[in-house]
Amino acid sequence: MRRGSLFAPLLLIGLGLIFLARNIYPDLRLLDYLAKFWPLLLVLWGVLRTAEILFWASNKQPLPSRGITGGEWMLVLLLCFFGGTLHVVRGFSGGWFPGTIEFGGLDMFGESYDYSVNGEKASVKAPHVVIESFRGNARITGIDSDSVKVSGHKTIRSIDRDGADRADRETPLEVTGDSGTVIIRTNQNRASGLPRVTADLEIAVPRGASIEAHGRDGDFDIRSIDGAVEITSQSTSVRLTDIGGPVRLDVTPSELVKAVNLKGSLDLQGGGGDIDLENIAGRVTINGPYRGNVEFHNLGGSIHLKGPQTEFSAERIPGDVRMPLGNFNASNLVGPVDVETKMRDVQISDFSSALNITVDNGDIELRPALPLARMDVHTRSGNITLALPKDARFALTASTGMGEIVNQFGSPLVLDEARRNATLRGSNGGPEVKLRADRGEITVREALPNEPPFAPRFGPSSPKTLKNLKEFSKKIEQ
Amino acid sequence: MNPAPPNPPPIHPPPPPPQSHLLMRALTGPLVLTTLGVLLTIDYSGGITFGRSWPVLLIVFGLCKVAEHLGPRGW
Repeated sequence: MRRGSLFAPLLLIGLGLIFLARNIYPDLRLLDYLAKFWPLLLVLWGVLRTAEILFWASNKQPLPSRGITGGEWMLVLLLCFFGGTLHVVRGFSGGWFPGTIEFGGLDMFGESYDYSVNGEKASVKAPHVVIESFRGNARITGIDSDSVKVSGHKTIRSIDRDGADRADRETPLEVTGDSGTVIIRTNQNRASGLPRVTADLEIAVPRGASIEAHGRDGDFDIRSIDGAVEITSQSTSVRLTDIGGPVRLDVTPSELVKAVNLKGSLDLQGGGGDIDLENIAGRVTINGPYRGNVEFHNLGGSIHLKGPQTEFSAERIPGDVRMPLGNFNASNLVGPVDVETKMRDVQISDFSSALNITVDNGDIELRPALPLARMDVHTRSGNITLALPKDARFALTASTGMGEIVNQFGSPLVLDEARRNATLRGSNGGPEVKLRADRGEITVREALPNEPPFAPRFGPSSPKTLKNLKEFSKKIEQ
Repeated sequence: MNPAPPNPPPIHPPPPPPQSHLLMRALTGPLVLTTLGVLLTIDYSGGITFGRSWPVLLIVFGLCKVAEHLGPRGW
């Protein structure tokens, strides 16, 4: 009888080793590794099976009629599904596995043909500019003028020049509407057959304009606009600079949303990768799963972020918040501040307004400034470290369900230790501070002078995003 | 005394059925699987996206089938 394949037992051994490693080093980011390297499992599987079959063949043992049985292919399919989903969920890519499959040879063997496009329409000083079903990159700039001017080029992928020419005729750029509402229509969806038409447009509009854009697969770069901006788009990155009116973005998935110097509010729906907001005067609302690096700097209005794993709100952020994967680092917040998260280590420094934190699984480290405000801090699994200024006034209650408490602050705190849990209490007439760790340790210590803030001003940006923006700028400038 | 009878001719086992096409048939699945893994790895490491490189799977599968047919018959 032929022996079974080696892959199953090796898989078991591998799983055992992985879980053992996880138990010994709890900090190991297993899911991240899995999300990134799962295709190597397929390679390993294939190579092992090849080696097995060659071995059987050289020993003149009977060979299986199929190297990989139907059931095993189902397993492969399942693995691809879970691996691909994990890859997206952990924020390594914006789209779902395996991205857009490109059929028909056009994208592989076809060539790109470029056509320049131009259009202009006179308008009032503050027109409403609508960009319809757009695919490609657009840079929209507000200037002192009374017309909407479009220039740039259209890229058509086609097998031959004739096909491209036909697609070009089918997709004329139209700048229509009246002087109050200018409509920019690329007609890209009119191209018959397979040629794919994208455009890189430079659009100059009067400074007072408001912008409304619908599209997919491309980047919007909008600057120096006094009116409102509304973008509804798929697979789009958005970069906004110096916008006067309220901004509404509905972009899924977005690789990057970056906004600098907004005078109005920002409402962001969707999901995707990085968010980077700086100098926003109005209210900021973010709703959706963002898996990349999320950063806020100097937000003058309230902020409310709601994702599947994390919810955060604050009154203002004069300082910085950085949320790389698995972390929430903040410095200089004005509250009431609420942080609720399933899987992040939370570090907050330099705050003196009310604070509520609930963490399912993660450590919490706090360094409040004087005067202290009410704090209610709870982690189900993880450690809490509270560094209090020397002259702080508080009424503190810290308790653990399973774990010890270390009192490095000294009086007036008094420790009451039981066999598995502990309570630390003490008051010198300040606001209520409640710390609770169900499984984990609590440390209360005195803050050292000049400890650095938790959210360094400039963090490492995602190289992927930077590269895309550079490519985008290069394209536009051509 | 009669000279010792010459050794009987060795009994050859019947020649095994040509295994090469069976081998190629068995190897097709693992080779395609390995290719799939390699293509996805290239995609994830920032190279050619799987959306573009997937026809390689067809090519590998086709080559395996060709090899399977060429094997037993020779040229």
